[in-house]
Amino acid sequence: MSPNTKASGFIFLFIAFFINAYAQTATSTSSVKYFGSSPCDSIIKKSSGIPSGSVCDFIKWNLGINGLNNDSGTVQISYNYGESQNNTNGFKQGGISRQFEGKYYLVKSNTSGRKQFHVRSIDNVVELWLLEMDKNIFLFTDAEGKLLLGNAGYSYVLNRVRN
Amino acid sequence: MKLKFIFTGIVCFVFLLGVSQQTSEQYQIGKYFGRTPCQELAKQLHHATIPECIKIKWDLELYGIKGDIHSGKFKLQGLGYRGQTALEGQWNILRGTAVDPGAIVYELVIPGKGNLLLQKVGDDVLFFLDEQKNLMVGNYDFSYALNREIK
Repeated sequence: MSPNTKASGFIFLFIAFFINAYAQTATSTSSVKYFGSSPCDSIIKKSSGIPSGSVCDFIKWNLGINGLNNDSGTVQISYNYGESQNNTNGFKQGGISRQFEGKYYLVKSNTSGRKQFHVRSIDNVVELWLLEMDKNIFLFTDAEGKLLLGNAGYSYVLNRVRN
Repeated sequence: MKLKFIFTGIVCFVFLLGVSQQTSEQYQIGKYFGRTPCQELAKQLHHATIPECIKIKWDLELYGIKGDIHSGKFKLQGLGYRGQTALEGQWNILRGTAVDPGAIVYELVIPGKGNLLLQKVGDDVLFFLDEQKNLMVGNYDFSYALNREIK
């Protein structure tokens, strides 16, 4: 093997190493989107900053989690709420939309390996607790980790958006 | 003639007593409801549907039998099966899902249709599983959870 071939081999390995390292970093910080429609009970109204007296039949959620495999990171929280528009899945006059930037961190892992996360907006308006069932499903819980109970129309579930 | 009448009366009494005991041995575990997306579960039930079917309203009643913690009866309404045509059958307890070996799973055995799997994710919430025992992933409007009806 000539010295030139050897040097080319090393350069190739060096570049491959950096491409791989970059790809791993990009994966760990990429945003994973979840969505779902939940009831609008008093407990969720309070923890999402929705005024208690406002008309709210249900909430449509959109959550972007950055670096899902980490125990903490940043999130984009947005939701839409209001009075249900009959015979549609939407709201009268489009409802009210709000967006927040926030952070999440791991609260605890239970015996089945499920992780409970605390999500809080930077302005402290929104404060949510989410239980990771698997990589595709989060369930809303209270601060103690008890699942929130939905109704005949809506459940406290966030579903991963398929790409 | 009189003896025949008394005998028939005793037989009827014993029969009714038996029926009443059978009913009292069955108890309701819970009533669950919720709305899920349509297509995937219709497929699991081998039920022909139209693309416009976007949701199913479910109503599930689970019954236990005293002395048996591994099986019981159910009545399921949804996807057009309502009232007289409600789906009825036996449920069995299975252990484990694709990601949780300790999970409790209700297998609803529906005669003449495909079986349905529901994971007990909490005291009051059940969640539909696919055939590989993964939690089913819903959409922006509907998820695959059923919630206990609290009176």
